Amino acid sequence: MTEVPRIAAVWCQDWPVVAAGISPDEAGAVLHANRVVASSLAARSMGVVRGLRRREAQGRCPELVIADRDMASEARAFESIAAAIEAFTPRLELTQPGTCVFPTRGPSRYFGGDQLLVEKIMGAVDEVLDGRTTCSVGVADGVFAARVAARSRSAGPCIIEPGASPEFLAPLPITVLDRPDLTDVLWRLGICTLGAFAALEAADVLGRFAREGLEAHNLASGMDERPADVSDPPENMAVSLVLEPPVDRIDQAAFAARHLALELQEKLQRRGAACSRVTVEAESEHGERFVRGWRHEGALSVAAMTDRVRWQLDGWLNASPTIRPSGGLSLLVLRPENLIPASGRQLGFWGGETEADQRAGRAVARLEALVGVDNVQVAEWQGGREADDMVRLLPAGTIDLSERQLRIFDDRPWPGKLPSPSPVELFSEQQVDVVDEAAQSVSVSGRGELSGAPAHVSRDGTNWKHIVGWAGPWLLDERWWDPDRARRRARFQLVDEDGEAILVYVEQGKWWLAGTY
Amino acid sequence: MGLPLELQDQVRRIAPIVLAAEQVLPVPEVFHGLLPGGGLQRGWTTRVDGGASARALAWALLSDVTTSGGWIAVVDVSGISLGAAREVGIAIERVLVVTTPDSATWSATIGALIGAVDAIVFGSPNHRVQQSEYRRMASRCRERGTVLVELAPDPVQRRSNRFTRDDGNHSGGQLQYDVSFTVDPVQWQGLGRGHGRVQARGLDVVATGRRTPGAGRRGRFELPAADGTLKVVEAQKLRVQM
Repeated sequence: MTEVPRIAAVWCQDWPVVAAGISPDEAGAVLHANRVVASSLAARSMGVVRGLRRREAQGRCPELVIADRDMASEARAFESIAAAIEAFTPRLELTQPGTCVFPTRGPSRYFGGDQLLVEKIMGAVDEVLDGRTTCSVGVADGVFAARVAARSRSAGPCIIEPGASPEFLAPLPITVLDRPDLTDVLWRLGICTLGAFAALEAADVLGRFAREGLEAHNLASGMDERPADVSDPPENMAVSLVLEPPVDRIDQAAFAARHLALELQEKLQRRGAACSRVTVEAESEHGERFVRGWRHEGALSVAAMTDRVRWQLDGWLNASPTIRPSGGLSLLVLRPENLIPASGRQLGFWGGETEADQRAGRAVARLEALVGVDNVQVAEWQGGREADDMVRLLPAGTIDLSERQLRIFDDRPWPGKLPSPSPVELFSEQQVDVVDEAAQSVSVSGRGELSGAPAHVSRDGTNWKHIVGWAGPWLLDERWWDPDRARRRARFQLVDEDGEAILVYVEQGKWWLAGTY
Repeated sequence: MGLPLELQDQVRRIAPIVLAAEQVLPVPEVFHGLLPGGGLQRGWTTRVDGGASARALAWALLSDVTTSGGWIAVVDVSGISLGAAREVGIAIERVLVVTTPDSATWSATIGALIGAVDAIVFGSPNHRVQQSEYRRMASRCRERGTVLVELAPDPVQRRSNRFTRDDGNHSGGQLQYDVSFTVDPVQWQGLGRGHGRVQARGLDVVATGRRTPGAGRRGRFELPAADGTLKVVEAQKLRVQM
């Protein structure tokens, strides 16, 4: 068995909440995908915990301040903490905003032991935090045990003696592994603690749960997920980009980050490797050097790597003046570390990413530079009752084009949706006039009764068309709980004398054009 | 992995033998009678005219391209409804939607997409485009095998928007289209007076242009028919009127 290195993990409690600017005595929560991912101390005391839906959280605490999760700003805010810790050790690795780890062997010896080192670091971090939250430090054998140790206290140090990590982990519930699919099965098998899981034979776990199971088993037994790769990767695996002219805006830096991440991924792929740690290096035009490592549980995908590089560059460029680069960045280097064999992605039946997909992906990168990131979009099916709800357009740069091919559409019916065909051209905010034979504007009562049959329609108020066919009203009343997105309308299909079919609706007593068929 | 991508590209372009099927973008079977050669030849420039229903025709023509793994790009098409595109069979996960912020980037955008996607659908530009530029675009398409589909502006909008120039300088007169589709008229089925719903869209489509012999071809289609599928009612060659 290889020796597991001593690792310290620094954890700032409720970091997403702090980064969102919510003070600890204010009840606040950060949500992602309608679920609470973090809540402040005051909110927790009222029962707002992780995993609640927005509505449940607001039910428990009506004055809750809600913020959407913004990883980039979390990373930016964390940069000052990382800079403070970096004064003690150069080998700092960020795992996610709010948590960072570093090996303690060198700094412990220098500062006279784990206990003294931890106290010094906590002092420095608390000074930067300035009472916004508390931080805790865990020292143990291996990254996982150190992180669990740090999280086991809300504040203060938690130092596990060398070799005592398995005993420390044994009584903890299996859910701290943070792998819901696996722990759910284990729970049902009656294995509720890490100790019980670690007691199983590794070979049996591998046979039953394959690679992921073995990794989890290693963690539970107090080893690291995978044996550290002692050999440094060859120097030529690093990719670099000279920025000419130097870059000082984050959008330009992000563009460079994506480009570099793609290049690195291609290089790694050619060797059949993936990396679980990447070091971002930047040099400013005045020769200052910035280095920071990011680590990830599994292998870093292009999107994950791009995100981390972007957060890091954002953090540097927007840091406080003392640690900010004095000029634009002129050189970017990505250095892969912890090379692991690429286990491969599950490809589609016909080979996953085709040449056509790759060509399209390259065109996206070129177009983003040309027309801007927000003007190159791809569609994502989301379903809905109205034609403009059914498909959402997302900036192509934020999505890994090769991975979304595998998604399957959810084709369950939407009650209240008009049957196909849908309008082929959509309009918004365009008013129309619909009148009956007596030239009175047609109105619809709350019960869906018409004041008269629609007879004439005009798009511009002057050009009247005779209606030769019509149907409706189909009433729609959705999202009445949300004043911004609520819709209460009556929809009609009309065909005019020119053979043009349109979809119109009445909302608040006015007629609007929704689309043409 | 084999050859680097740039080299693969070169090999494909200078290869002496080209299979005919590789040079044709697949179209749904219903359009085989309308198109000479039974498909959209790679490198063609086409135009679809006839208001909103022209879009339905364009989506239907391109649906097999996306379902067989190809990509299409949509440039500067206002009020795009990908839900409707999906209903006629477009695989919307392989559609790029691009908006050009100003007229200066328009031709560079189209240029970047030629060769990268299999078909480009673009709304007629509101600015004047030099004829030489169109010719360059068309020849690059022929070389790289991308099909251009221009959506003619909606006649209703053309009338109401008096700022759009429509004085013959319009691109319609500039580009020699390989095939030009005109949709006219449209019949709607399923809608009564106060009952029913729009169920089927009957289209008369005339295909003319350099690649269609004589006066072109005419077809009557239902896109979609009442059962949601694409149907051809009849297709015929047009006689040259003496």
